[in-house]
Amino acid sequence: MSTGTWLVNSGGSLAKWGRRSLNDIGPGLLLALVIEIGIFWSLSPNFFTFNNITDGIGRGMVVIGIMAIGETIVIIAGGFDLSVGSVSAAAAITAASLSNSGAPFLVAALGALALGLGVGMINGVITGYGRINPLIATLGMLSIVRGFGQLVTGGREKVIDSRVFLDMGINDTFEIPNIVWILLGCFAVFGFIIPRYKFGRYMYAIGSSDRAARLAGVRINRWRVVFFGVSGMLAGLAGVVTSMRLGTAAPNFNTGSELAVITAVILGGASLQGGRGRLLGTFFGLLFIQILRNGLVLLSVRSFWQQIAIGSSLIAAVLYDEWRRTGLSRG
Amino acid sequence: MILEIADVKKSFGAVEVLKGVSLSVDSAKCYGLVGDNGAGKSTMLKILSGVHRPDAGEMRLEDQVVEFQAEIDARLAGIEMIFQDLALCDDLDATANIFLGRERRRGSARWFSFLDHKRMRSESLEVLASLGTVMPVDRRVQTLSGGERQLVAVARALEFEPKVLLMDEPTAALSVDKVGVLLGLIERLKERGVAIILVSHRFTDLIQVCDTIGVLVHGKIVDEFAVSGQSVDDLTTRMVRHMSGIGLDEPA
Repeated sequence: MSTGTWLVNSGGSLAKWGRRSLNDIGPGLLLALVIEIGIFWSLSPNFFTFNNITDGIGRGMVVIGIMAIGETIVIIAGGFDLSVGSVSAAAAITAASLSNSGAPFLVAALGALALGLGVGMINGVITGYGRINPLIATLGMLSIVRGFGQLVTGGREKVIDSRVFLDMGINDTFEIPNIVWILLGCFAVFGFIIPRYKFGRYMYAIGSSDRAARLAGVRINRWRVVFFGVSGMLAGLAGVVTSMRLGTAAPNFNTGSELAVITAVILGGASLQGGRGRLLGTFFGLLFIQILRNGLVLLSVRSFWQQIAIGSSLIAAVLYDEWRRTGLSRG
Repeated sequence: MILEIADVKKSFGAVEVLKGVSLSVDSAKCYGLVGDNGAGKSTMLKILSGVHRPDAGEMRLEDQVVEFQAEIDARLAGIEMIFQDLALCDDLDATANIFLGRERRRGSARWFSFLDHKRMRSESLEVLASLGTVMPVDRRVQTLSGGERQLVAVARALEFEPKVLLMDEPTAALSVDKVGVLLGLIERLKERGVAIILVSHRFTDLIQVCDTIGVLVHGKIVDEFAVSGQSVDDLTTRMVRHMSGIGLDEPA
């Protein structure tokens, strides 16, 4: 086995991995991405510049990107997590509170991650052991966590006294923004884990058929807690990154971000029925969403159109997926 | 006797599905269980495979009393079950399905050892070869034929060398020529020393591979007899006598 193979997938050759990924993600998304880039490149002279790529696109996709990794895991495992935006806000508030009461950056950040992990695990317990539909469970959690955030802060923005957050958030390393490195690091970590550990194997198995997985002896509810926990933890990290970008924490952080997160995951080819999807697909889906947002800004299109465009891509992606799997209904 | 069940009872709510079932099966033998729909055949298998817990009665495996809290306990004790719908994960490939829940891993670090894809792949090819078949083990089982999927389910049960194999209507979803293959497979499993409990609607299948047949009616075994030395007609008559609702020519 060559080093290259080892890097991407311990299960097969590089070519096979590429073919399989392309097959899973589908040529539609890549084609759409190329067309999208072509359009914005030809319409805006500022689009294809180093600055726009690292800042406008790169920096802009970190927060939804980190949440999208967790969402991908949950969706492949047959679940759904609507609470990521709220959890990120609560995590940012946690980090800000810890930091303002004297905790060093790393401790504040870990505290935020722990909060996300905890909320995510509760989601997992409710959907797994409690057998509540994940859509309902996490919709409830969305509201609960957002409400607590507002309660704790009195609905006001909290300025973080320590400069470390903002400094780390706005600075670059090797000309790439630090927070973009965080996103790439998350993709690398989970891209490494999923093909190599039971974590990834059971994620697909439970999403494919939780009954079959249970009969095979997989402790499916325990794993649901793990998957939702990871999603919550990543949402926590996304909250920390949000406060690093702004130097503050507010209870309304990332309101409505679920839309972009879920759209990126679905565009990337993950099946709402579970069992199917690729982290690489989510990466491309994320690129598509962010280039769309960025391109519309560059063209000075009113921001309301962003929402309309993202919502349309979500529906288009699901339609395309349905059509690719079964053909359109003629009934 | 490798597996003995004594006076097992099971109720779901007010309905008593099993009213004290006793049966036993020896290594390298096949016990056939017939009965009407709702007689309790599937419930019996689910108790043996750890899906359900009995309300009363005793199960002995190799003279040890066993109690299963979950499916995995039965499998670890050496009782494998092939479900009627096969219970495969359609989005996983054949190898992943065969090893699901018992993945081979490299090294022994509990949390950190990698899945051993290479070993699982070669072992799954091996176990399928021992069943006399070659198939693409890297493809999603969704894309395999019904017969191939059946073989994946059998291979999964065999990979861990079970003492007892439970089969629920294994021929129900197969075409006629594949039924012959599967029955041949059961014969080969018996030669390997595996004890088999076979639930089937198809009298001809049962007569062909079983050593003993038990007729389950309303949660009780009302008749039990050896297959050898009796004519097909006699055996069939004996099975039909206790049952209503299914006949010889009804499709399985």
